[in-house]
Amino acid sequence: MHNDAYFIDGLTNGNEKVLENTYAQFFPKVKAFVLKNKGTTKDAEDVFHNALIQLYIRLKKRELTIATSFEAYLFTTCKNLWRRELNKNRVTKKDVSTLEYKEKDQVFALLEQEKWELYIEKFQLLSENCQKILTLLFNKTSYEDIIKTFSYSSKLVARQRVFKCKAKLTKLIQEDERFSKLNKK
Amino acid sequence: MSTEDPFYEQIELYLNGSMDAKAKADFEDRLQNDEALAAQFALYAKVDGIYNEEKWNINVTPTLEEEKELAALYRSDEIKTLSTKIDNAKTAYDKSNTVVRRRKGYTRYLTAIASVAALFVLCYFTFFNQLGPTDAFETYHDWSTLPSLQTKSDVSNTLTKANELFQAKNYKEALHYFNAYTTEIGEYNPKIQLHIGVCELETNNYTEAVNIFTELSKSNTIDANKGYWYLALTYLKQENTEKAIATLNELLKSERNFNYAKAKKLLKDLK
Repeated sequence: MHNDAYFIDGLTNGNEKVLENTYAQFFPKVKAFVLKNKGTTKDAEDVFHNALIQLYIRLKKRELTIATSFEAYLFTTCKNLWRRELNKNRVTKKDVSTLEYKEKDQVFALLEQEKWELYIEKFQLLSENCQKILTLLFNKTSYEDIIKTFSYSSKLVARQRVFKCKAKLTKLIQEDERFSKLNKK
Repeated sequence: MSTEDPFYEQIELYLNGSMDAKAKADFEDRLQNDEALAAQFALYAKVDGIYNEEKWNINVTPTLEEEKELAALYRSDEIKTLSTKIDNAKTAYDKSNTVVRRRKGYTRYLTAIASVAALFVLCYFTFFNQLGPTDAFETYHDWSTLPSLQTKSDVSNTLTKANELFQAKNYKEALHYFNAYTTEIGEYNPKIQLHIGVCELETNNYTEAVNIFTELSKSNTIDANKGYWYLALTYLKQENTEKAIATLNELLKSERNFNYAKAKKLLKDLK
């Protein structure tokens, strides 16, 4: 079993042996995930390929440091790329970019992944209780179930709690200057 | 700004639809005239979607320079080289994977032979010919025997497209068009269902495939008896030999069922 540094250095140095090991060790899990979520083996291969390139660029050119394990990082990147793919038809308010080029999709995927990580970072600053309640809410758990889980005395109490947590989260995001930088034209 | 800021409370009331007309108009007026508040409102309103585990609602607005810089990076020789190396790693992985699978199958086969031979020497040759589910699927599936979808000139474009994609083995896209066609015609068509089932099967959506073929086998249509055969193939591809055998036994209950002779032979190969 190799350690994280082995995979990270191997990727950034383009070491072919390490890349082979990366494929052998981590691809099966990604493939299983994609197959389980409406994808094909080919989709899984594309996602894995693009995730490795994205990580390479971020590690070498964009000051990414991998705080958790390489595997967790790679898997999350793959999961997000596939989720993004499945939601391709989402309606966006406006297409802000006027440029058209072949690599556009990958460029945006990378930037979106960075922004997603920022959102997650902010979320993790919330109290444990807030994190729990919002995770349920964001994944469409009903207020009735939230009241039960947390033994709140009424719907009003639950709503107030949700509201406070959401307000706190919004505030944390807005106060981060990287957020405004990512958003600014 | 604190989280106790009454503005958040206002947002919540507004989003809940609990404001009266006057309060609502005032609030909208504020949003119109205060850019900072509008941004705060937009974020609060969309925060649910950002953290939903199935959706992807992350929008970015990079500067043109940033976009150009990243695009150039993706286009660079450095990335092209890496891309080739990843492709090579994939090829190596695919290769080793087939070798391992074959070897595994071989070991399993040897173990089976050894133990079986010791106990039932006479059965040796029967086992020698035994097919694993994956091999059985590969040997017995033949989509070219599906009922033809060629129709007259009044055929729907959707169906033509679906059929083309199916023939090109692009099952994922084909599925999309077959489903659209089903909605178009608004009635149960067994031939289309067979194709849809195969698309699901080929894209490894086994549960869907099983549902479709089971429904077909229970349908009151001329093609109903084909359901068993394709259901058995689905189980084989899923490597569920037990269920495949049970389904084949079901098929063999009537000689008039589709592929009766083939099913008999397949069953023998599996046992």
